[in-house]
Amino acid sequence: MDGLSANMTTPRATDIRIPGDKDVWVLIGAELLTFGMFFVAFIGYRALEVAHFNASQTALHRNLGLLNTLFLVTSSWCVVQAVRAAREDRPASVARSLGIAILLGISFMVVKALEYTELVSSGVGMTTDNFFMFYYCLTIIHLLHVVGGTVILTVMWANARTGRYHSGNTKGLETGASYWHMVDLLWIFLFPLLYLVR
Amino acid sequence: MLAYLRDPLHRTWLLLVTATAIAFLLREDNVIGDIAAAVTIVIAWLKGRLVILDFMELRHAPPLYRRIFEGWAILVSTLLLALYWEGPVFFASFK
Amino acid sequence: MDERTSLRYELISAWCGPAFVITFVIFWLGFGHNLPNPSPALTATELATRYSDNLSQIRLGFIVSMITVCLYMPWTCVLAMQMWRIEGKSPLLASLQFMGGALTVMVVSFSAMYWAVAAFRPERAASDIQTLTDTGWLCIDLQYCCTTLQMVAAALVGLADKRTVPLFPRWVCYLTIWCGISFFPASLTGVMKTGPFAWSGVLSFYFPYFCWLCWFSTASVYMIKEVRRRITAYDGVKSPAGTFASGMSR
Repeated sequence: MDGLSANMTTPRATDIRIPGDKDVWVLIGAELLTFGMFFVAFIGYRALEVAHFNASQTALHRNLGLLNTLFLVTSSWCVVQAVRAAREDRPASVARSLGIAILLGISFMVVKALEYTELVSSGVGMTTDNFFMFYYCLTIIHLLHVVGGTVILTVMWANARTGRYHSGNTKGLETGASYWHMVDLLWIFLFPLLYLVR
Repeated sequence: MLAYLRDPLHRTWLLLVTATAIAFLLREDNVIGDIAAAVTIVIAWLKGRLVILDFMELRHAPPLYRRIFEGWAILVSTLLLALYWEGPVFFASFK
Repeated sequence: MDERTSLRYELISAWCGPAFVITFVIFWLGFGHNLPNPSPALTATELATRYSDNLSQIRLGFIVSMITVCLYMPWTCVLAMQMWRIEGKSPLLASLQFMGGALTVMVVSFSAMYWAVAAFRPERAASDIQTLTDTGWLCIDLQYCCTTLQMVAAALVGLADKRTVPLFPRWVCYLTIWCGISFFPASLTGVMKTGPFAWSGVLSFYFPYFCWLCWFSTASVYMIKEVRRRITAYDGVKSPAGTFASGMSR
């Protein structure tokens, strides 16, 4: 495996290889495990008071949740474009794609802030009931990951503007990209669990 | 447009957006239904799998990595489905 | 002080890590009756009864915990020295880790002190006992960030370690960052009284504390190995004909 990931000069999509720093996948795996526990805890608590959870869920702004899903999925896709552009030695495109991904990440935060403001002003808080306890706790913890991921993307964007990433150097970019896809992946499960499943 | 869709990455993005829309529309009328909820969870798994394979690029990763991450998605989705369906009855038996 | 002596002190300090974990589990978790820990949802009277029923064990647990938590200090110092050698001229992250470790000791120590105070006069008003217990738990659960910074600093230096045999393998560094992040849900203990995010909950207590002890134990193993390597290298230079055993037998 070491030999494969070391041979990174011109990675092709079909090569058997692990993108980025292979050890960062330990972090990603551990994060997924943590959130897996969160998801299972949520649906387990839900099983104790199904009717109550269903009633509370109607207070959520489902359209904003949908909007945020589209933001993150598209942002993830932009990051994929950035990695591809780096492999094809198109430095301007790397920075542009990352820039759009960052804007989408910020949009996610703005929408989330709107959602929280709306909910709090309608009198729904973290201690209202078990549904909202999970809603706030899980989305806040996820939001922290979005903030962290956006910071990583911004660092990579600054690097990309100096032409740091090219076909001979994609490892750092791929490492950050993998983290951002994880943030997207977590939201892909969080959105249906909190907003849709009833 | 068709040329655009020939790119597998663009197809993945379109699939993800479509799957999100389907899951969203299933809930539009606020119905409470076992089948709709199960479909929602299955859609989440399919979307997650696409992200793992195409965005995280684990489709071409060493089998161990692919198995661990795909395994996570399957395990979580299965547990969610099982607890969604059987959880209420199962926990009620302890009361 | 000659180098052999300072190496020996480094080895002893590194072993303070495992010693801390063991004593913490025995006294803080065991005698302190923190496994399971008191739920924030307990009424003041229930909580007071919990103290009076297990008074001598709780007193012993927390009083000894406040002593043994100081084993974290020499351990932090060894790690700081090891990081300093990697960082070279400006040991910024080593200093950060050093401060983080020192403050972690105070956070853990103070929380145990509030509980020791609560157990000092168990006949006092139940609501006062509740206040002291709350203070202790929120002290340790809301002030984790000193430890997070300590861990992140150690991980960043570990990732930048380009020696052939690094201090920490890279996966340990990433796991360290994750452990540090896993503390964040503990901030929710400031609000929650029931459920998995309350201070007695799975996601705010069992899981992050388990992660912390796991990180600490894993890091200790690699730190001890590093000190051993330096001792071996030192003995090899000092007495090329001599053996490792002769160095150890002194």
